[in-house]
Amino acid sequence: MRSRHLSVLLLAALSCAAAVCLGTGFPAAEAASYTPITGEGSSWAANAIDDWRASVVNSGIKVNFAPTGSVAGLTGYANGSDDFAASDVPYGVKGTTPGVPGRGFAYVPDVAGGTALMYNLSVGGKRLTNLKLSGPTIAGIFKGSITLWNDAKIKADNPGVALPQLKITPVVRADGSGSTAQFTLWMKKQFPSVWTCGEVSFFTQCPSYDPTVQQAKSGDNGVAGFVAQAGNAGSIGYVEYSYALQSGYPVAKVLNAAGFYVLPTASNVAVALLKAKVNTDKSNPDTYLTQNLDAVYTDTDPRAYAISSYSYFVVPTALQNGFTSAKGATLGAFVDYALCAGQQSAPTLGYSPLPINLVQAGLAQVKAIPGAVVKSIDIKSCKNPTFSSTGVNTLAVNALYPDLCDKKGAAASCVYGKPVKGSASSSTSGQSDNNSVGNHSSGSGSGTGSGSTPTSSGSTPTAGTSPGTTGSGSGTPGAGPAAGGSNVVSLLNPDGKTSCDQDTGQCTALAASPVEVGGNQGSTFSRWAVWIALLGLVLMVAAPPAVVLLRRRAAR
Amino acid sequence: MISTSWLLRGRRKYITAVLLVADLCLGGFSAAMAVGSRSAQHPAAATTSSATTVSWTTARSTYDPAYADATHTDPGDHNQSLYGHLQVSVSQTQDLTDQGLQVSWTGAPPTGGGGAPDNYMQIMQCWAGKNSTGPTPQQCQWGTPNASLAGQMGLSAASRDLLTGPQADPKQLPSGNCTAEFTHAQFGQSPGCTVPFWSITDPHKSALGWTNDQYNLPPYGAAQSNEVSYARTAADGSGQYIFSLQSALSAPYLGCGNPTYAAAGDTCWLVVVPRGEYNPNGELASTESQTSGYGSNFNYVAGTPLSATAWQDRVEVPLRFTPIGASCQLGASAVRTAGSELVAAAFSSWQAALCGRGSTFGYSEITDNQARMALTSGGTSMSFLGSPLDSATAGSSTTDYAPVAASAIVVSYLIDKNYVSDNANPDIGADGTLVTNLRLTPLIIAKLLTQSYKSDTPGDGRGVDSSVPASNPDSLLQDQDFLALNPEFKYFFRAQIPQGLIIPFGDSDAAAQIWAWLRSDPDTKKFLNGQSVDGATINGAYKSLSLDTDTTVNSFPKNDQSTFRTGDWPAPGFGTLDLRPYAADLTDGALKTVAANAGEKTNFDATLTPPQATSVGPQTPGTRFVLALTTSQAAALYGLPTAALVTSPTDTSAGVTATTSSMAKELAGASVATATTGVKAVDPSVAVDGGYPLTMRTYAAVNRCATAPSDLTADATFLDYAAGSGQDPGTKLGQLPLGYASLTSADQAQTAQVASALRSEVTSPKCPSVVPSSGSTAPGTSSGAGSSGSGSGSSAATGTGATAPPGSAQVPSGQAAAAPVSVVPVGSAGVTPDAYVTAATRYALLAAFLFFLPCAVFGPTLLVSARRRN
Repeated sequence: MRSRHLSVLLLAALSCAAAVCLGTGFPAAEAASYTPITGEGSSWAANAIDDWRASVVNSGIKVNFAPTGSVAGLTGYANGSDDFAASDVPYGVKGTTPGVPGRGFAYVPDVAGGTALMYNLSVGGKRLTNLKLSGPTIAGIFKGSITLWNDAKIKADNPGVALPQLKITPVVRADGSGSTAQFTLWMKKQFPSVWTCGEVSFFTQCPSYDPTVQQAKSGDNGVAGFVAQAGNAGSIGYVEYSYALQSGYPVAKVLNAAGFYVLPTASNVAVALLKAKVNTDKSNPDTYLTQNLDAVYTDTDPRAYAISSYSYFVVPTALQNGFTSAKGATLGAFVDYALCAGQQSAPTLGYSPLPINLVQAGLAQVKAIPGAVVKSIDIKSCKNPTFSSTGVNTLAVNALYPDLCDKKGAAASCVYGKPVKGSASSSTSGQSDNNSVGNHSSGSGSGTGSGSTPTSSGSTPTAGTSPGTTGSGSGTPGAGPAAGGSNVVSLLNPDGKTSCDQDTGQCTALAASPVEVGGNQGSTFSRWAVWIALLGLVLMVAAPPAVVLLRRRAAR
Repeated sequence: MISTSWLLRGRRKYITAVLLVADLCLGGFSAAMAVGSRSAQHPAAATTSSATTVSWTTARSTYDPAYADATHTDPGDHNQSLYGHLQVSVSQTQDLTDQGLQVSWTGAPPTGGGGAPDNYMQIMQCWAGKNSTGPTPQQCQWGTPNASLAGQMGLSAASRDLLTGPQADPKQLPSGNCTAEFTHAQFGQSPGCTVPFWSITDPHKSALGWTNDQYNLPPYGAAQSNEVSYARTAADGSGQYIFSLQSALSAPYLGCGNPTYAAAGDTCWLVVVPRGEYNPNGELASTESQTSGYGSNFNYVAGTPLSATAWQDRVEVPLRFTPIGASCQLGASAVRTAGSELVAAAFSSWQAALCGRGSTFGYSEITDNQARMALTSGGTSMSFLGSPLDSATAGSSTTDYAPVAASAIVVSYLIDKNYVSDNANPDIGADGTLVTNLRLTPLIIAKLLTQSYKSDTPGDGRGVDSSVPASNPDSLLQDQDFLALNPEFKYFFRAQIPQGLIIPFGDSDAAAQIWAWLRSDPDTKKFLNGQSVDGATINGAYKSLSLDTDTTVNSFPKNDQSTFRTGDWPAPGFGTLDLRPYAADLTDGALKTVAANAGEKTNFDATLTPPQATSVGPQTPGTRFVLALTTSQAAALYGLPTAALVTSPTDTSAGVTATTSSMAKELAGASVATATTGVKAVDPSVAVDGGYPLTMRTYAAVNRCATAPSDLTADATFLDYAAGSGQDPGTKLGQLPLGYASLTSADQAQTAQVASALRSEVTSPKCPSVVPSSGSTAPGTSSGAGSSGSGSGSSAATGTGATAPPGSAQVPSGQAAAAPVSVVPVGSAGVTPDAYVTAATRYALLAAFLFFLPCAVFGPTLLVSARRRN
């Protein structure tokens, strides 16, 4: 009787266990077959998208993407030939992008970046790498009203530089482009008296477009490819920063509202985009998560790069136009990767990672993709590099301040090495004069690499400050010893909460441990598994004889 | 003592049950994880070649017992007498992925005329179900041909449609009427008769009928399908085709490499259907008349290869794919690396193996210059590059260099022999087949790279501001040097010229290596200097670039400034970048070759809003002529032939192509020390007998003192693998992919040494300053000047940190502020015994333990209770 009882119990337990395990187990097996997906669009974001595409192949995901330009992407998505699109601009911008499609869609921000002004100019036989431009000057150049490099307006931005009397060749996009739209929108909003064409995605539609003045090329690749020719000296074009980095040509420092000329670095873009107003009205999917950059343009943070923007994926919200739930599973996994771990490569490539609020909102949109495996999308396991426990963008908080020589009106004789906040310091602390591209010949560029040697801080005479007192309790290695300079003056960062060191921009109060730092669960667990198993095996071997022994003793 | 009865008394039985369930559940989970993690095991020893050759007669006898005796043929199939000597070879049949497969054949009857009148091959990829000896026609990707190809073929020969009526295949449709299983109801049209496609993803795949509309259309179109509508056979009975194989990543409906289907017993196949001279109804195609109902190509062989009479003549080759997918967990924490694309494919293979060991590495392709920049400005834990930091930039940074890969830059090509009819051409019989031999000199490559052929400039040298000398050859086909080396091109149609040499955008050490090689050739140096050599002078737009002397050139300029107006183009018309756009990178060059699409955008469509330039589109098969600079790895993967390099147009040797042995010879014979310790360069000016001059090493570089300890440990793990199993050539995940040459043992030793140096830095740090957290990854990596090292929080920290007392150097990196990247805990490998126990084994151990635990508890107690009862 009892043994029957037992066997029933055992059976029940076994079957129950099997059911539970089969229902929840085999996490790897289901990932094996992803249906390939196809998209097209933004060439501005293409370097990042290509990086993500390559990264997910070993996880069994194939994503086809053609950098045909934002307008072609929006059009292709609308007419159903694509599973997703990438675009720097939303649907329905009058005279700029196609109207809202009949097909269900949602916007998911994918990466941030700076639209860089890549140029090809030599002064005295040497490639110029420290060109500074103010907004109205840029607008004048692309409108065609500033035609020579030694124009008084450009000279005013670059005191002391012997600019040549050389024709300016503005290089613009020939195809329907989101970067053209973002670029012209900035000029329209900020310098309406100069830029009268308004916001367009086809530059060639501007009345001021003259094919004998502006060179129109296809894709960021085409624009950057044109500027990067020795024979095209005098040319300047707008591309995502990554293309300039690829070609080794410099980009202009653009004057911001704080009066500093800054580069479109990952951190400067992140700082500027703290001011982006993202549409949070979920009730209207046509505009939800789209960006309003008005406050970015006028950001008074000295580090802000004004022509910063987000790019977007356009993803389906309905099974139509050949979009299946199997494709939804692929797209969901891909976009999830892009928003999280994929953002880690953004700064290396020349982009800026998305902040947590946009990732969070974006992931919510991803969950709405029919077929997306919702349970695997979780902000908690998101390996985005900008996250911090307090929700602020660590990249923006840690951004370095520009050098005083990059302040508007700085003397021509200004010597780099003095960051805007804090005084005497080595150039390793502030943003330097140089582009990280191009030939570095001028300025303080020799401040030595990573400064890993004691001599690199040698220019800081009062380095004796005790790090113990300045280093914060949170043990931030960047912050503590970074006090190297004697000028440890805390200042409030733009987020209003964080105290940062002036020299370095390192912020101490923000013990920014990432939201999630653990390795993947399975891996940690598997490591423990060894111990548990070993312990168990020992017990299994040792316990029975021990028990028997004990019983015998007890019986005696 | 606990007894079974005690365990089951009162409430205890519930607790026991719950414990048991929990135990078994955990055990089951562990077992599942063990299975899941197993797929990325350390690879087996190097594979040997899996190429195979199948003779038609053997193939016939294996799948049709009626033909066990190879001499017997089907009396109803007159074509069979043509195939007696047919042999089909396939370059690889194991560890396949999305790649090019060389399919070649001998002993076939030669194709007649132009296009595909008769005697050609049709090639397709298929799947087959469990326990079947091969695929059925329904299981093959076929029937969505390129329209221009279909136009050169007989009725239905490229489609899935079955002929009916008097043209019907009596074996397929004995009555001539379409049967129910092939009747295809079309809305608003009369029903068609076609062979349906069965997808492997269909739950009813083994029992599909033709009743459900869902199955009416194949899930692929001309853009997706890899079918070869026809491949021509040369007069000598041989032919060759580069078949673009598709894994389940690209063609899920075939499921090749999908572990689920493989486990279920499904298989993948290459099917080659030879087509002879007779139509499916047994009539000789060439005798058909215009009124016979076979359409415009009435005297061409008609009917689908899926029809029984043609299908029975097929040659099948089983294919085994590398399991896709599960090797790396998506989005797992990764140690970031970045750099030269020359390492990308090897990295991807090694990554798959390392994932199984618990280390996830991420890689981003950036230029060598960006990679050098990242060394000093942070952002990555390891950079891949061709040449080291120059001493000025390196300063006193402590960078270790370890060779990880050796490969080469090649000129890949895809050229259809498209001859004018001239019987003086000894190769006329091979018309329509692929060129398999191409020899180039440095001078010819220099002409291609400098737009010195007129056809590579807007308006063929007639553009505004044209700078190409009018006396230069129009294209390769007019270049006497080229024709001397490749005489069959004398008979090419004049219009069939390459869209230039496809080259990548951006700067690279590979480009610098190519220019160094070109400068090392005396004639080419003269040419680059502006002198006329062999009837050609450099395009004036390139003369000013000092390519003959400037050793800093590290990109491929497209400097011709001329423009040309045609059609509706507004002034000034199109320019060089519209005519000869850049590829994204070297691998993209190979892809553009496979697609025969260089991306030319010289059409202008005035009807669009706004009017804009449009793409010219791909070249038509049969008239393709594509040349691209790419990597030896990409060429090998996509099965592309590569040009042999010779030094002079009068050279009669076969020249040298990039093979593992020619690359190894070059590395052995032309390596020279550089100013940087541990880095060797290949000097292309050193003549090495049998060496391929464009061979390069790719180095992994680690800035030891600016890299977090956990990253150093991970880097060491990677380098150990790269210098060890990672150098075993083979097609399995984890091995060194085709197209790479294995490192020399000295190089391997150097890499292993660097790995141990990195490890010892972790255990006994020698670096003078605080090592930044792994958080060095994100902030402002691109912001800083390469030389100033500004921009990144980490570099600032280290810069000033030098003055910190030693105590502060011990700040655990785990607490790092702004540590944005979570690092896979490889660093902790030292504290557990699992360093080289795979995750799978760990899970398996636990599973075994958990499954046996109940036995351990209940076994003895049951024994006890049994004894008691006795």
